[in-house]
Amino acid sequence: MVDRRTALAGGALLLAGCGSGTLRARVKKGAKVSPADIAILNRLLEVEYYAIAAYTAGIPFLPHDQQKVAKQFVGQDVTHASTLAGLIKQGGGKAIRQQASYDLGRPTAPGILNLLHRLEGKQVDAYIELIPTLSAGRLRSTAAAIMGNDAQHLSVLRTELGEPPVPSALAGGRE
Amino acid sequence: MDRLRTRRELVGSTAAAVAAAGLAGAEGARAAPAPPTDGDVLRRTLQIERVVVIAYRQAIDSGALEPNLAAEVERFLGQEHEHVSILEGALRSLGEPQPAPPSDLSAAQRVLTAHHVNATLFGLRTQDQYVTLLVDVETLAEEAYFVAVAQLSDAALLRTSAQIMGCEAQHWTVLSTVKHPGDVMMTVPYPFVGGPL
Repeated sequence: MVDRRTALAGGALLLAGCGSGTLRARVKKGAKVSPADIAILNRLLEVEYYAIAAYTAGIPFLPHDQQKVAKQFVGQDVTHASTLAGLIKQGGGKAIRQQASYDLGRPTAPGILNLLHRLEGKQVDAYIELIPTLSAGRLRSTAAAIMGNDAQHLSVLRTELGEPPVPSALAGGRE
Repeated sequence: MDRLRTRRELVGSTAAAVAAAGLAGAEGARAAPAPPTDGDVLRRTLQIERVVVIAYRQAIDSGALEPNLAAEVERFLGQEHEHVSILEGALRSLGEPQPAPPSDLSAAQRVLTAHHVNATLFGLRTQDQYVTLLVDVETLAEEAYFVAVAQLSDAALLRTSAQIMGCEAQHWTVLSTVKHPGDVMMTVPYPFVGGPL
């Protein structure tokens, strides 16, 4: 279990090092959000929050090299979450809050990577399912730009787990 | 720094192309230009995918790649062939004409140049040069699907395009790892993938 304050504090620190502000601004600026998009974006935000909580709870238990990777990824997931929350606000909606705690089970150190792999896969699947339902083209592209980064996370985590980094010509979280 | 330079150039060239398109539209009859059809979008994307296949083929045939990398690149080439087949099949399903494939290496190079990619298909000798080429064409492919996801109207095509975009992003990361082993700041550098419209 990880409390929200810990998760947010960890994410905020890492967000400072994320870079790519211009691209982030362009991605956010170009998208028009309709009321029908709000619920969809909130679903995506929830899976991002879940992954952020898992990274934040799991990072202290990872070996040094994997900590470096995980810190980079949670920082990027925090950027995804803040982008989604910004889009929801832009569309006149209310972004869901991160839960006070998440039931992450009690993974052992080796199990943490499997948990992160599973949650990144869930993110990729959620985006792929929901991108076609978003109303505006640029909003879909924004979601795809996030999904592509999560697919990269998935690929690196697969490598860390000794699995093929790109098992399919069509990215998905279930491989 | 190759990745950063390439991405920036691509972003700049895309912005320039969009600006140019806007100017051209303004000079027109002030009628809104017709949005591209799904066939138009698929043809543009297929044209780029075919050049990606040519770049992979060049890298493999060069003999410059270490055996383990050559095997990985061969797997990626197989996936790029799948992408081409998917796009060709989608065009057939829509009853749309196929774009003519590049007739030779020079024609493929012209496609890269037309999309403002500095990578060259000629005169490469080392593994590093070929990996740089593949990273550059994968960046172009990411941008192609970023655009496609914005423009397509069919839900199934949208979903498939997003999945292919994710695959190209994964290729990009694996290839970048060859250039920057163990440096996640370089191999997964941005929280977003693809060029802005």
